[in-house]
Amino acid sequence: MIEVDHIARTYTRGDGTPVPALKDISFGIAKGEFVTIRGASGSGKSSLLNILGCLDTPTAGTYRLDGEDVSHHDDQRRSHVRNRKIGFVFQSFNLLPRTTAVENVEIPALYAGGHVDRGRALAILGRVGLGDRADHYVTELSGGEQQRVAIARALMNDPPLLLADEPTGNLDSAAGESVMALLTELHREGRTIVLVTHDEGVAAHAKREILIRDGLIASDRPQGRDAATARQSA
Amino acid sequence: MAQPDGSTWRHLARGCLRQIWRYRLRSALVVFCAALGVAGAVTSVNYASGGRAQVLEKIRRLGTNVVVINAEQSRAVGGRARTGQVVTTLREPDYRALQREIAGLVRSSAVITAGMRLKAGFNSKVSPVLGVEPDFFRIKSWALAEGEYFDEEDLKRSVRVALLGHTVARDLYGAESPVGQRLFINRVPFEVAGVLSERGQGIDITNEDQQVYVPLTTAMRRLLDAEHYTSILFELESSDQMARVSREIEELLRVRHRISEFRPADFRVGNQVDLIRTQLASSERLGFLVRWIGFSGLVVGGLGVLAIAWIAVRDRTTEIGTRRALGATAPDIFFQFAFEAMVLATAGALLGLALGWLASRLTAHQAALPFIFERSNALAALAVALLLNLVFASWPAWRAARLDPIQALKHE
Repeated sequence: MIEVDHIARTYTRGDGTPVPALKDISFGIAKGEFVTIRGASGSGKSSLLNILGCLDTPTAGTYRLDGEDVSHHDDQRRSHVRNRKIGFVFQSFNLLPRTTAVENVEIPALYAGGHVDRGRALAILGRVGLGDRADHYVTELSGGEQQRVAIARALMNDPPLLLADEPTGNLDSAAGESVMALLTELHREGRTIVLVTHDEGVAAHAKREILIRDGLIASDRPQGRDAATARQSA
Repeated sequence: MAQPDGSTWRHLARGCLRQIWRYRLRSALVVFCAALGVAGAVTSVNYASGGRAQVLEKIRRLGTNVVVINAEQSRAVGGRARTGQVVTTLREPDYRALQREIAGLVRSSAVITAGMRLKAGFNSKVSPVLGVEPDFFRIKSWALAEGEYFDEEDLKRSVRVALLGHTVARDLYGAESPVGQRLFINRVPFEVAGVLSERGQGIDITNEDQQVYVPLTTAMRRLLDAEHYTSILFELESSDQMARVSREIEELLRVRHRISEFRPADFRVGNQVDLIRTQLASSERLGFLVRWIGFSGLVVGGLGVLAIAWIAVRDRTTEIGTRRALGATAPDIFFQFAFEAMVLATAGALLGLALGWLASRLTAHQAALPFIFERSNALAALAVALLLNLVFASWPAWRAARLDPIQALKHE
């Protein structure tokens, strides 16, 4: 699903000095995996997220998403890749205010061209447990509900990859748990999920954790029950 | 990538309307800016057109084929200007000679003027009273509002009848009809024969509505005991003969009054054409100026649209970042913002057209100018406004489209 091969990302400061954010990152994620990318702020985690989300391109190396090399796509083509292949979930939900839940869910379909299928949007809302909230304005929903609307929106175009950036960062623990439970369920249904966080507790829900430090992979190991099984068998 | 079909456009349009409602204060400001620009442009241009039409109307009324001889004192006698003395040298023999000698005259009227006290019932006022011949009103193409003109017979018998200017009639008789009523002019009783239609201010500043008109001989014998005229009006067959006739009048009168051509005359031959030309030229200049003012109004309105759209882009940066992350391309974002601003600006421009119509009516009424609403001007203003707004709406939209999605998402 994801093949990251010797990726580097170097920013250029105002005075022309290069600042390396990602030095040399390589990993692969198979279809159906649930992976967290963990790192402290300044570790290069966000840079990696931007590249994985096709918002940015690496300065070196290649990134293949769903078999397509997207490392050199221009803005237009990256927009299309984001639209069809990536479902974004943000820390602060990023729902459009004064807009109903179902209208938010429909947005990705709007930019996909073709028919906007309201029935499908309603079905997905039902799937995340908000079937009865479809016509509520997002400001009328709780934080946990808003994040579930955002997850429904991420699923609208049925993308192969779900990319969540600190999805529980703005939620209380109960709401955070329910969102994590939803993501775990989606994983069980076979979706590929990459979750970026600095929180070990959140990272524990995934089956594999990639730890980033100083623009390099510090560790890449199984997590949770899989990790326990791995340790047992060792 | 599939092309957006009808459903997508409908969605975008609906989304756009929702955004307009969501930011209704801002939307109202955009509409307001665009409307003011157009209204200002339309009103000022129409005002100028009204002014021009008024000059043209004066020309039509007065005719470009009228020569006026005004009795005028010599400018200087013995090096000193003489003022305040009535010149009595323009007399009937001059008039008869001119009528006899000069070819191409169609109508004529001698005029004698003096300010006199009018009294009707308890109302009293001082107004210019003009002794004129019946042809005076034909030369001026001046219709009656009510009553009758006086005729040659009245002139012969020096009948004491008067025609009132519109304002005089209103001042002395109010809403009542003055026709057949008694009017005292310098204590001499007259009968009001009619009221003239409203004219407004003439091209020579005198307000003809504020004057009273009586038969020439009546004024000369019964009111003033005078043998001279204040002025003589001649209507020519055509305005082509204006120069020749003016010159011949000048020559003949100089000979008759024994004034050599090197000395100032005691009369002045004028025609309205020069005056009209000056006025027309100044109204053209005004029109040009006003078009520029109108255009600046449109630009200022457009800048208002620009400023508000600019602020909208800044305030909605996170939304732009989110839409970009969800797959909106830069052109999609451009379209969204440009479309939104254009819908508002167009609504504003149309509203401005309506406001401009209203304001044109009001200013025309206030300035006593004819109400003109030139469709071509209005359409031109609308077209320029839409073009300007398109440019001014596109700029912030272009900026929105150019935003880096990563930076936009980070924006708070």
